[in-house]
Amino acid sequence: MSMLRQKFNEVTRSLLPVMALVLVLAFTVVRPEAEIIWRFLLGSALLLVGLAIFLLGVDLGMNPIGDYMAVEVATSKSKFKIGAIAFLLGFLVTVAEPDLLILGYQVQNASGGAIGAQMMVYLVSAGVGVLIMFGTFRLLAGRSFPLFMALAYAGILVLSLFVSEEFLAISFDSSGATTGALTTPFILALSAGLSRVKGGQTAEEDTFGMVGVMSAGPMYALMLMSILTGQKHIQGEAAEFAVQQGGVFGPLLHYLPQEFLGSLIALLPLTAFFFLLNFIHFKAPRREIARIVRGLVYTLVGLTIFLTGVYSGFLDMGQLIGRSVAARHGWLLPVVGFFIGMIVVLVEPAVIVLGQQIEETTGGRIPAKIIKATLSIGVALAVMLSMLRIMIPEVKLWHFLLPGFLTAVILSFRSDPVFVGIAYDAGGVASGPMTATFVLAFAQGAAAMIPGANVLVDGFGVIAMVAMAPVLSLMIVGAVFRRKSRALPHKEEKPMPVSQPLPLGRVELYDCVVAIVNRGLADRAVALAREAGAGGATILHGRSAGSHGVRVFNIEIQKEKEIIFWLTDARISRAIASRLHEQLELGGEGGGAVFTMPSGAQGLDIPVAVGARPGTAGETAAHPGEISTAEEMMPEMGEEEEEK
Amino acid sequence: MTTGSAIYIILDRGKANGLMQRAREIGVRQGTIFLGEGTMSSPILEFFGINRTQKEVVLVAAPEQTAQQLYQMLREQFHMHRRYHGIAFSVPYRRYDPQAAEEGELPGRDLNAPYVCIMTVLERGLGAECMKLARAAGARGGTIVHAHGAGVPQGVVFPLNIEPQKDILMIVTRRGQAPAIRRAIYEGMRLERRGAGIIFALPVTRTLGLYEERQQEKAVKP
Repeated sequence: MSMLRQKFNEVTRSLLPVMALVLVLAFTVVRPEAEIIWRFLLGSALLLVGLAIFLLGVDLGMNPIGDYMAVEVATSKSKFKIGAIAFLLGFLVTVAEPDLLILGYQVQNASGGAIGAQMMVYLVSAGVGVLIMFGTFRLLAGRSFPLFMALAYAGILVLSLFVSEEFLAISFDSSGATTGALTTPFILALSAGLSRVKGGQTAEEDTFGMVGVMSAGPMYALMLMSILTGQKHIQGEAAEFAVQQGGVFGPLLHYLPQEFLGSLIALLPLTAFFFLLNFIHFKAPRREIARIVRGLVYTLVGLTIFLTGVYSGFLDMGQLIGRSVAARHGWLLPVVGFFIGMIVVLVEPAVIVLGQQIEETTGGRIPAKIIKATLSIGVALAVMLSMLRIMIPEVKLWHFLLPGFLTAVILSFRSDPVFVGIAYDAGGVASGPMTATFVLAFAQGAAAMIPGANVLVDGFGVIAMVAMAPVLSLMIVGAVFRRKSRALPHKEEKPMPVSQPLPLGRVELYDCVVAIVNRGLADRAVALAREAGAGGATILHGRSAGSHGVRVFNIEIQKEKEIIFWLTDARISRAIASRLHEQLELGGEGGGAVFTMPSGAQGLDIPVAVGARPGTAGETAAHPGEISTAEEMMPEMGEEEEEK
Repeated sequence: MTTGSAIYIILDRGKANGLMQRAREIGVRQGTIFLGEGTMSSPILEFFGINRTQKEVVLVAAPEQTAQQLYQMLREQFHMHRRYHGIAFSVPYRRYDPQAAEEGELPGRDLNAPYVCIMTVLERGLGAECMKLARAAGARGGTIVHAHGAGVPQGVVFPLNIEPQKDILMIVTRRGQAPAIRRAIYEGMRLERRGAGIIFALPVTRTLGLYEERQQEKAVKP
């Protein structure tokens, strides 16, 4: 099965329920013209193709760029340089986001020109840049992430006391617009790269959370702007709705060039920055660059097709569903909202990217399934509550947002650390292009038909809700998960046995020692083995498929393991194994095991090459004097093999 | 020390949990799963940069009796002897167990294993290139696993533990072909450079689903 087919399958699985729901609604409640249905079907096809190509592009293009940038940031020689690059990355990835500019013009019109659209875009981008900078320092310095986020949200809470409700809604919306289809995957890749470079025990939890950090930036920027300029009120209605004309293909042709240009502009600053750094600094091999360029082309093409499909096929449909349901069966609105929220979020590009990243980082321990299920339920409730709010004017946005975020922040201190990062990310991830078009159109359609509802405020409120609810729902699951996964009892360290002297003479036989230990113990295992004479090690992440997994919602969450490989002298492999076994309490409650396997002596005439990477000093080879040159290693074995 | 076989099972991503559930029924209590990437040889797919498949690798340690049952299960329920259904192979091991009696030589050291598993640890990103070399030297397929080296403390501004990112390439091949493949990788990837990577091999006593094996079966069956 090729990569592309895998992506297609993945997208199809999430798209089919959306199509089924919309078609059922279309034929029972909405009854639009045939043209609209054909457009929707065409739009779905484009969405499928575009999203699959886009996801491929993220794999090939965005992720490596994020990696390179992360290494560049983390290994910079001064704090100033770290801060400057992190700020620039946040700024550049946001400044060209097309959604943000559109929002800027909306705000410009609504404020009667007091706030310029470009000005707003720069402010928001600067806000993102500053937050990414702080987030990077937080990550590298290893400070508490829940505390960091709690402070960030506390600041927003304080500022929100001074701004009007309209501005609050706009601020949340700008945060939704910032975490678009392009920015989110890149920031995910960047933070994954940063945490990999930093390594250590918290590598896994550090992988997530940067999107959450970043989404606070626009809120700060806009609220500060409102307070400083004294701009409090925004009037105006959303543009009058009219079904797009031009037959089945008309809207498509209208949007295609526009989205292409928008995507191209959005990609440019970051790409340019990468190639600039590559030219003066990274000098990546041509093969790698070719791959990245290919990935960027895929990203551009995929994003264009995806957005064209969404705009030409889903926008009208969403409006019509909202209007018809509100007009004919008002009481049905929350129910329809629930289902729309539940399944539409799964087609968000960033959700799929996040799912992949979670599986990769946790070695499959936290299945993407459980994250997606929790996200679904969160967004479903968010859209449902938004519908209630549109129907009942007395209920205000902050009635949900304040308790929601407050609970989330409190829970973040009692939740599984990996979930905390994922939860804060989920807010930004869930409010992507699908929410900004389909769900928003649905809400605005409904608001337009319900007397007393304000299209602008209520419509924008939906995005704020979608940005909040998954944070809360994932935090709850994380807390449940932590309660259920029993912490390993801490045991006293045994006194170290005196190391046996290393055998002298050259190494004749090699053993491959494999230890399987709980996540986080690898560093200790490597140190222990080193004392017993082993060299460097190679570590990979996996998960245990034993019977002690924790079940949450009937999905098994398995224990995460680290698998460590050493190549050692066969004469000391036993000593290493016994040392690891005793010191790490393997074979006890926590599971884990040490194996030794014979190696190297089988049919191979070139000996093992052992060495350290230049500059990183001693990644392998503890006794270099013995295993340095080729011929010394296993001459007998080689000859023996040739005789046969 | 107890002995047995460490069985590696490589299959499409998402199928490992189901396999372990079945395996539990026949008495395999513990297994470790990690994620890998398959490699494919197709110039067209390579041009588009999509010549990778997502795989899962299951590592199960089982005594001889259980291994027998496991292989039977893989053949009957997972059809691993057929194409595209995954592969499995065994490496003999000693498991460190203080309770078990001391026991001498491993049944693998002198054994003439029919296959070997060549493991190459390289810098991240070089796995695919290495596979190409191996393929030119006669290897049929390989699996790439992302791993990292043990952390090297390196304070730049913040105290970082830089973990060099690695690819592990696992190639199972017939014993006779191993020296050629190994030499091709060693020379092609210039592993004589310090830190460029290491290469070693493990004896493989039993396989299921390999290309060579299917060819043999075809040859036997008229």
